[in-house]
Amino acid sequence: MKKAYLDIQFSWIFAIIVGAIILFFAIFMVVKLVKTESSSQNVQTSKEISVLLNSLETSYEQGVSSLISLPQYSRIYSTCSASGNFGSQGILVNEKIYGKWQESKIPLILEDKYLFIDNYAESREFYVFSKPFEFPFKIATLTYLTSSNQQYCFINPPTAIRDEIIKLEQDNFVVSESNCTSESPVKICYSSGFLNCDINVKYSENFLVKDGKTYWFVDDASMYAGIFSTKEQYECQMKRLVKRVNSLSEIYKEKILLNTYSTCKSDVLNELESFIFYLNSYSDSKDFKNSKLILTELESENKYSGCRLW
Amino acid sequence: MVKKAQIKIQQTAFMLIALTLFFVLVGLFFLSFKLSGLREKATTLDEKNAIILSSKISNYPEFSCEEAYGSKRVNCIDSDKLMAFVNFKPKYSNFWEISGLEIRKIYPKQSEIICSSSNYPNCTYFKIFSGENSGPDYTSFVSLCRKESFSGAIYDKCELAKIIVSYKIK
Repeated sequence: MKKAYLDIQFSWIFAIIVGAIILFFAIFMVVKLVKTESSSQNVQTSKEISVLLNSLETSYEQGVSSLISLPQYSRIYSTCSASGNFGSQGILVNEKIYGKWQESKIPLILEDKYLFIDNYAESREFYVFSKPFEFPFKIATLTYLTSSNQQYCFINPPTAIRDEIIKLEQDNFVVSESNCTSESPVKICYSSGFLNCDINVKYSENFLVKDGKTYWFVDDASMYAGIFSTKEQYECQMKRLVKRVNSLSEIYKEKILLNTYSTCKSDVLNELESFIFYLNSYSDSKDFKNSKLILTELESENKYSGCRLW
Repeated sequence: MVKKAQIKIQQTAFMLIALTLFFVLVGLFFLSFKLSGLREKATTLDEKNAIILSSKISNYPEFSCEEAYGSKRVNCIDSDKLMAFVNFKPKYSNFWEISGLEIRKIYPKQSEIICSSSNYPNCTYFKIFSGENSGPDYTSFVSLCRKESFSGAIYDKCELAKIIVSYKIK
């Protein structure tokens, strides 16, 4: 009788142990699956954003704005790598589910996009606007993403910038002559004499100062890039853009050498070669300071040559 | 008595193994179902991307006319630039995440001749990228322009072309 009792007990203990192992394994798998599911959801959102960025690709229109609404409260990060032929842009989305951030570490990598986000943008709704970057010919469309919760106040900007921002009709952008009324906005000042500015833009001198760091720019598109990005990201994206300029310059050089151009002369070859030489020595945005003369020469030579290259 | 107990343990063990196998199979079925859904989503997004890209790619600076033919034009491909681009295409192999890119002259109608440096501009078909596992293609119409000379006078010659973009099947 005692032995049978022991036998029953043993089979119960055995079943409980194995059952516990199975349960533990099942719970472990479910947790893993939930994590994978949230990662795949984040990557899917990143991909959807990248598809939307394609539709924001500009031709000649200036400044196009669009609103992105995500199903969950999210953080969007932009990563950048300057290695490779054209470097790469990474888009990372982390969603907040039941008050907890679902950390995804897999960014969506794209070579043809240039997305500028100041550190990260957090909201359910985001504004994106894009602008063509020209140096001196069109290089790429730059896209700027901001959270609908973050207000930006442009204080006393030049007329062209003021008109452009008003035309964008983004609710989180305000243009002011002297002071900002909205709550805790990022203050972007275009002339000295204003207090508590987060960003000081020296528009005519082609640089801006943010967090004590200087960002050199060449046109309005790269100026916005400086406003809506961190220094590290800005320098990386500028390096990528310079790589693209270099490649496009080589394409234009090849175009000059085509047979059809023996009848239709373009006199830009020498300037284009010195431009490529300048591009090869580029190290950071400070080098944009030396680009003015060469850009003017290149532009005027192209404008008045027998056949325009671009 | 010992034998009976052993049989009972074996019974329980078999039962548990069967149960585990059942759950593993259910899990595998669920996983494959999820993965196929994910693949479908990825393909749909790639398809969407290809549709948008087919209408936008002609405005990329690598192909667009810019102001080389007078005023700024939309959906205009510079044929000379395209020919020059062919030499640099290995650099751009992963640039647009597409598997195929072709430009075909459609008007005036001519027989199909693939463009190369030896026959350009007397050709009608630019095969830029043509990868394996290409999915369905998406087309849009563009004007294909280049400089021509006639009796010493230079003029802009623009023809109607079709740009064909296809994406990789996952």
